[in-house]
Amino acid sequence: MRLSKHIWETILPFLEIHDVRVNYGEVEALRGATLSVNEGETVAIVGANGAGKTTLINSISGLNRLSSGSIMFEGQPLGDLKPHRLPELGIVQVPEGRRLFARLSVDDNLQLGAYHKRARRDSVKGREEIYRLLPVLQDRKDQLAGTLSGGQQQMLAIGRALMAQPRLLLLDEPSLGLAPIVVTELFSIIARIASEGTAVLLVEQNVSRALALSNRAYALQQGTVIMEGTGQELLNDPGLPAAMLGIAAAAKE
Amino acid sequence: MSKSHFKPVLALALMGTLALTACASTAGDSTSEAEAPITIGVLLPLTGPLSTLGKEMQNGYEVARTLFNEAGGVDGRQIEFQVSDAPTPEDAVSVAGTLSTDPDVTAIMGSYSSSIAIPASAVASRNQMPYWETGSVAAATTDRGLSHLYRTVISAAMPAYSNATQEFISKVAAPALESSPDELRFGLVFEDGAYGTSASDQFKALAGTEGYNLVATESYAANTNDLTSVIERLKAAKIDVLYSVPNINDAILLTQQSAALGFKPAYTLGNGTGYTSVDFIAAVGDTADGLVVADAAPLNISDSLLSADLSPTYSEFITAYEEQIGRKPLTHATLGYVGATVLFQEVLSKAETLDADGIVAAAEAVDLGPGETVASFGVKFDETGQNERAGWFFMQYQEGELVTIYPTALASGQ
Amino acid sequence: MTTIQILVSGVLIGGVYALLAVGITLVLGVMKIVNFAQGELLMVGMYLTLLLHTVLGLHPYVAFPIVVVALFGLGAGIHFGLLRWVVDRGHTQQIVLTLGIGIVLQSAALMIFGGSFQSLQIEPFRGGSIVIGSISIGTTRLAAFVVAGIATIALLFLLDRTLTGKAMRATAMDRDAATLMGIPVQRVYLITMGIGSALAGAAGVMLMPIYPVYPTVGVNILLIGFVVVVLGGLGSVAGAFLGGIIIGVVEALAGFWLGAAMSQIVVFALFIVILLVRPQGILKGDTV
Repeated sequence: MRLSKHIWETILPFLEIHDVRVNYGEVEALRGATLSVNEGETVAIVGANGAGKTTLINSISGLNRLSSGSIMFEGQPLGDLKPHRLPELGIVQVPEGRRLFARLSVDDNLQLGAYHKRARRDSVKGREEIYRLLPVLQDRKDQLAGTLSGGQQQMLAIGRALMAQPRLLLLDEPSLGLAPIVVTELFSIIARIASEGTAVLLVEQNVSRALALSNRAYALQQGTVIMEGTGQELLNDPGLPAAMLGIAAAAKE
Repeated sequence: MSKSHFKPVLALALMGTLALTACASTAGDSTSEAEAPITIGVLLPLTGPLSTLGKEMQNGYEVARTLFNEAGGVDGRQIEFQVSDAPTPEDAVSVAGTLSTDPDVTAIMGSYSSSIAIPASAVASRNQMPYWETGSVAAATTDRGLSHLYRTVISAAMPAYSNATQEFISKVAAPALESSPDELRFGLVFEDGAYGTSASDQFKALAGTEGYNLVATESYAANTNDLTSVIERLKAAKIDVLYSVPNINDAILLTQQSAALGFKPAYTLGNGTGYTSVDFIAAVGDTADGLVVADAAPLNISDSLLSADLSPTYSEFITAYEEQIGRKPLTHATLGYVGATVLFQEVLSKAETLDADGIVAAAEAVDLGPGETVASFGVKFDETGQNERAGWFFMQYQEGELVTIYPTALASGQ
Repeated sequence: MTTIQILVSGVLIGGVYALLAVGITLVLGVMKIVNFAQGELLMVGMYLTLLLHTVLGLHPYVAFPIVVVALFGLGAGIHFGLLRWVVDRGHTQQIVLTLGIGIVLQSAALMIFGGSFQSLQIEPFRGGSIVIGSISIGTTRLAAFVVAGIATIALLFLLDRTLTGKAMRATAMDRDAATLMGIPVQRVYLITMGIGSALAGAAGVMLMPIYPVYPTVGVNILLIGFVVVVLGGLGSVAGAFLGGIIIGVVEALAGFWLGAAMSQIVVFALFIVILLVRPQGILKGDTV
C-alpha cells in the first residue's frame, strides 16, 4: 500500500480514501479501494464499465453508504456529514448524465448551484464569471435547461457545480455521448478549471484524454485499485489490463 | 375499522358461551332480583354524522331514567343503562348482537335513525330480545312484523302522518297564503339518502292523491357543499310552498344559501330531523324565523294541554331536562324521554316477569290515551308493534324557538 | 341571468376546491407523496378557526394568520415526526401512513369536539351578499375565492422567483442532483409539507363561515380535491387552481341543467374522460 508521497500531505491530507467497501445488496461494487487527491491536483480514475468508478465518486458525495473504510477530507470523516453539507466544504459533483433541473432556466440552474451560504453571497458575481467562462450559456440564460444541446447541457452542469465554489470538483463521465469536437472543448475547459487551482477528480471512459489531462491516475478493476501513477506512466504501462488497453487504443485513434 | 371486524366475532363468541349457560342463569338468579338494578341496553349513533340527534335522544333517555329512579324505580329496583355506540348499520348489527345476548340486559332501547333501527331490531328479534324504538320514522321498521319490536314514535306509513300534512296544508298553510291547495305551486327538495327518499316518497304520494301541483322535485347528496344549482332550479320553478327534507348540515347550507341567493318561497315546510337539531338553530339563528317544521313530538306546549294525571308533568320534564342538560329539549330528546318513560312506567313496572315474554305481554297491554305522555300522543301498539296513537306535529320557528302551531289544540302560538 | 348566477357560484366554490387541491398537488409534485390526510388538515383548520372564535372571540379572517401558521407547524411536525421516514419508501407505506394520520386526526376531533355539526356565526357575513342586478354573490364565498387566488399567485411567485421555491422545484425534478448541489432535501420537504398543510388551513378558515364542521368533513372535500389535482395535472399548481374552478363550474352547471343528483355523475364522468384522453391533465406538471 502506497500512501502519500509528499510530506505536507501527511500533515494535512486533502482527500483520503482508505480501504472503502460498498455493497449493493449481494453485489460488492467496491472491495477496498484506497486512493487520495492532493490539493490543486487533477486525478483521473479509469476503468472498464462496472469497475466501480461511479460508485466511488458517489461514495465521496455521500450518495452511497460505505460498508467499511473511510473517506476523509482535510482530516474530517465525510461519513459523519449529511450529503448536502459537502458543497459547503468545497466538494461538488457533476453527476453522470448531467442531471440538470430540466424545467428550470439556465440561470436558475446556476443560481441553485450556489445554494450553500458561502456561495450564495457571491451568486450574482459568480454567474457573471460563469457566463464569461462559458459564453454559450449567456445567450441562453432564460432558456429551460432541458432544451439545450448535449454539449451545452454538460457546460451548464459544470457551470452549476462551479457556482458552489468547489475546491474539489468531482466529474463523472463528462464526455459521455458528446461529439468529438465538443469533447475537445470540454477538456480544455476542465484543464482551465484545474489550472486555476481547483482539484479535479475525473472519472472517464475516454482514457487517453483523461490520462493526458491528469497529474496522477488510478486504474480501477472490479472494485479495487490495480494501478497508480502519473497519467503518462499509466498510459505506457504494459500491465494495464487488456480490456482497458482496448479502450485506450480505440481512444488514441 | 378494527371495531367492526372485531364486534361480530365477539358477538358470535358471546352467543356460543351464553347458549351453554342460559339454563343455569334463568334458574338461579331469583334470590338477588329484588335489589339488583334493571339493565336496559341503549343503542344509538353517538359518534359520526348521525351523532347530533343520537345524543339528543340519549339526553331524553337519561332525564327519564333520573326522574324514574328518583320516584322509586321498579319496586325499588333502579334502572341502569348499558350504552353502546352504533354509528353505522354495520355497527348496529354487531352492537345489537352483543346487547341481545347479554344476560344482564332486559331490553334494548334505541336508535333515532331508521338506518340503525332497521338492522338492529332484526338482530334483537332473532335473539328474542325486546327492542324499544323511540326515534325511527321509516315505514320499514315496523312493516316487517318483527316479534319483539315496539315503536312509540310515528311511522311514515300511518295515515295520521299523511293526513296531518294534508290537513296542515289545507287548513293552515293555504289560508295563510290566501289561496287553496290546488292553486299553489309546490316544490320538493330532499337529500337522496334513505331518510330523505322515504319522507319525500310519502309527500309525492300525498301530492298525487291530493292533486297538488308539484312543479319541482330536487334531490342532492347530503354531504354536498354547494346548493346553488338546487336553489336556482327551485327559484326558476316559481314555487309557493317548499316541502324540504334535509339532514343536518345540508339543512344549514340550504337555509343560509337560500337567504344569500334571495330564494324565499311564500311558505317553507320542513320535515323533522335536519331542522330540529341544536346545530341547526346554532348555525342559522333567526334566519329560520317563520320556517315551519314537522316532527314527531310537539315542543313548547303547556301542562294544561295534557292529562292532569301525567307524572312527571310536562313542566317537571322541562325543568329536569334544563337542570340536567343545560337547555330546553328538542323533539328527539322529547321522543326519547317519552319512549323511555313509557317503557319504565308502563312496561317494566307492570310486567309480571322481566323476561322477554313478560315484557312482550306488558307492552301489548299498554293503553295510554291522548295527553298521557309529554308528547301529547297516546300509546297503544298494534299487531306489528307500531304505536297506532303516535302523532305528527307542526311547529314554527319564532324568535329562534320552535313553537307548536298544529294540531291547533296544542298551539301555544300562531 | 340565472346561468350567469350559476357560473358565478361555480367559480366561487371552485376557489375552495382549488385551495385544497393546490396543497395536495404541491406535496405530490415535490415529495411524490399523495397526502390522504389533506382533508383532515382542512378539518383541523376549521376547528381551530371555530375555537379561536368561541374562546378568544376572534373573527375568522382575523384568525387567518394564526391558523395558517399553526397548520404550517402541524404539517412540518408531521413531516419531521413521520413522513420523513417514508419519503424513500414505497407508495404503499406512504398511503398507509397518510391515511393513518387522517384517521388519527379524525378520531382526535371526535374525542375533543364530538360528532355534531358546528357552525360559526359572524354577523356581517352570514347571509350577506353583494347583489349586482339579479346576480347575488355571497360575501364569504367571494372572500374564499379571493384568498384562493392570492394564495395560488403567492405560491407561484414563491416557486418561480425565490431561491427556496426554486430549490423545491429542483428537488421535485431530481432529488439526488439537488442534494449534490447542497440543497437540504429533507428541509425542503419539511417546508413543502408545511406549506401544503398551511394551504389546507387557509381553506379551512375560509370554509368555516360557509359550511358546518364535523370530524369527517374533510373526506368528501378531499375526493373532489383529487379529481381537481388529476384534472389540473399532477404536481401543477396553476393546473390545480384552474382545475378547481373548472370542477366548480361543471358541478354547478350540471346541477342546474340536469339536477344536483346528476352533477356528481357528470364530474366523475369528466374525470374518467380526462384520464382517458389527457392523462397528463390540462396543464402538465410544469410548475413544480
